[in-house]
Amino acid sequence: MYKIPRLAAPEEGRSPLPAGGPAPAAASPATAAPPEEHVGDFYSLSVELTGFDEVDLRETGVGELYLDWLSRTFADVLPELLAAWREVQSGCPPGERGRGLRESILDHPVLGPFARSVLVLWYTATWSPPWWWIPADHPGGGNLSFGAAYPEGLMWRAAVGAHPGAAKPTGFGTWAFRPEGA
Amino acid sequence: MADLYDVVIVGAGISGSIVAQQAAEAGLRVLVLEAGTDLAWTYRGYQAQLQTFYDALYKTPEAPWAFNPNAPEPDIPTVPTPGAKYFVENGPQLYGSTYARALGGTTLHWMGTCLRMLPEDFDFHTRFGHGRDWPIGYADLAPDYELAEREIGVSANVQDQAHLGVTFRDGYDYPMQRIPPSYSDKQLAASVDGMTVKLGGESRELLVRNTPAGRNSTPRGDYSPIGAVDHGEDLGPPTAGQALARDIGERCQGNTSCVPICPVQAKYNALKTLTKAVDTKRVTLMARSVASRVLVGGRRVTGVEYLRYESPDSDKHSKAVARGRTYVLACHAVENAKLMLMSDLQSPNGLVGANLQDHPTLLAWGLAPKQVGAYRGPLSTSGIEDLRGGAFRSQHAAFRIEIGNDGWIWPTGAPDTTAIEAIGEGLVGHALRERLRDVIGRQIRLGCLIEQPPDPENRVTINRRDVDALGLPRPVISYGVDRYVFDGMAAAASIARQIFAKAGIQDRTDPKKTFAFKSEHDGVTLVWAGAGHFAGTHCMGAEAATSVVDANQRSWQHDNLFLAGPGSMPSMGTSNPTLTVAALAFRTSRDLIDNPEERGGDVG
Repeated sequence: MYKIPRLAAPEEGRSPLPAGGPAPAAASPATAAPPEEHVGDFYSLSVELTGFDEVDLRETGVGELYLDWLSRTFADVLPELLAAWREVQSGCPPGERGRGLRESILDHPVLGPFARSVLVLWYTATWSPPWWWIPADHPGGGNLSFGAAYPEGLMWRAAVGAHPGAAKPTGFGTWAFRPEGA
Repeated sequence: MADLYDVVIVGAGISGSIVAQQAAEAGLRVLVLEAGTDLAWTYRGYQAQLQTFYDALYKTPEAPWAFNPNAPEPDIPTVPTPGAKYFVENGPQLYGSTYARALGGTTLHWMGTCLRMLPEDFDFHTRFGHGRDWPIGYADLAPDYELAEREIGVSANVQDQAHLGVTFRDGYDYPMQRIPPSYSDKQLAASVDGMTVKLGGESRELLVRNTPAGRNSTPRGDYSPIGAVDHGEDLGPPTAGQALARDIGERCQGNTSCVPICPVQAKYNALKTLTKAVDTKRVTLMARSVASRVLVGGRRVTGVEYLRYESPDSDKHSKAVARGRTYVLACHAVENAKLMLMSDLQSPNGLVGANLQDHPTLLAWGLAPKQVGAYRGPLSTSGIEDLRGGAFRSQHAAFRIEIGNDGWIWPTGAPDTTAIEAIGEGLVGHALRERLRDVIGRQIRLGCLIEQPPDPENRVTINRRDVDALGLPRPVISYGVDRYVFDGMAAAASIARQIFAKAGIQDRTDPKKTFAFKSEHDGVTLVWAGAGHFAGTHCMGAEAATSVVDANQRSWQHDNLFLAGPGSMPSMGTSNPTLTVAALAFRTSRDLIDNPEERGGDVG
């Protein structure tokens, strides 16, 4: 299991991870399901990160796919992220959670990049590694596509009139219609 | 003793499929050898390719088709796609285009654009002093353009297309009505129509014009649109062909994915023609069969040796020879040349492999002042065609301007990169969502396809020491872009900027934010890419001394051999080549049926 340092990113040029890279964590669906309390925290954090409400996020049908993969691939960082988010939720009134998110998570040298990679995952259905020092052979160390989730990238929902190429077609001739806000 | 066929065809793309269908209709027995797999032959198999596309990290034209080491194909050289590199790039420029090796050929991932060539394109050298002339003219090819438009199922209106000398037979119109232009096209037209630009000292007026497309629309007259094919058990018995599956994809649904895969096959692919061929019961298809040598005796081809493999997962294969009376190599420009060179059949004039062309495509992208509906509709529905012809072609290359409906996917990998950039700026939550709501739907892209005259130095060769999984040589590509082309590209860049300025579009063209090629030319950085338009590796001509095939695509060296496909084109002008390739296949079919063993009298 990779140990991701909790408090600070390493100096430029020095990876804190063991040389050679240990074997990736074995994916075992039976034991890999994320703890129940993580699901709620993951969605409430994702609402704050993405700007979409929880109904929209759940409707994508792919949130648990992401959470399951993150739980297995970053078994030591994801709980840190969710724990930090729980502290923000308990310490800040709902209107100030954005500030709490920024101070406790987004400005954190390790959790910040990780949270932004989770945000990219929600918007594009692809993973990009959060840290320059993550080894390429780490299971989360390279760019990855979440194939089945591709049509659910939030970027398509955020845009006006757009839809994912090769999915959710809009119908013959609809491309001639005036888009909202035009 | 192997079966003796009337015709042995190598390659199941659009050329091979049309010749197979025409020959079989005339009563001939046909064998088609295809190097790649036949995964798309069943509806279920085709849909599996859609899933492969979803899974791909880089959604390039090749993305839906898994890399096959036994029939490798090129990929875009600047994108890190999986699989081994196929082309050996010899420079000076990288060759940026790709093709498919699979049943159906490159029509599996073509855009569908079906422009006829201009009459002046056929006399290119005589009129403008560059490149080569064709041995035939527009009037010779016009009847075959009609056949090709019906076979492909082209949607367009003649009244939009009769310009720059292109004429149509009285009473003719395309099989289907034009694809409706996008909202984005109409907004651009409101600014561009009637604007004048200077080119080669002349004033030219611009017009946004509908693009003829091999995509199903609303049929005219008795034409019946043909949808998806199925040769499996999914939607009917194994021989059902397209009879049942054709109910899927009878009209374009707006999947915004002509390239790399139309999920409903409303866009033409050669599997549709191949289905008609197979329905005659006179055509045998053999996929996973890679032609490895053309066998000859004197002026006759006597057989095609091929390597048959069971699976892309193993290089295990057996060798056999296919025999026929007539042979057609129809495996695309590079593969046709490679196969001839592998067989030690370079022509005495050295022109097999020479004159490789593309349409180097200048990319310009910008942000429209209001929402235009980007990422919606066929990837392109209109273009600006007014600069495809004119006296300026003696000075620099002509070009057409394709107007994209696909945002900035091609130049920048948007909208993914748009989201990643905004997140990198620190945006989260509602601010992030609002940014993307604002900008993604306003992204607009122009692709200026620059003509490239044939240059004998641009060529395909082979190196027998550098081989693929089956031990066959990889193609070595020598390719450059000369000043004539770059001057045309620079003119296109200038006109793209003028169009953006006129339409109030912020120019966001940025060499630092693109996967495309960058070239410095007279102090300007030009951003460009390959168009997927190969031509010229076995040019046709009026004389054996200066060409490889005649005007019917018959080899000058071997009486019962045809080399069909874009490789026969001495030039493309600014037309996307597939329609012309299909028209030539009808010419070849007639000659092959009338004169199976030797050249007939009339090749003009």
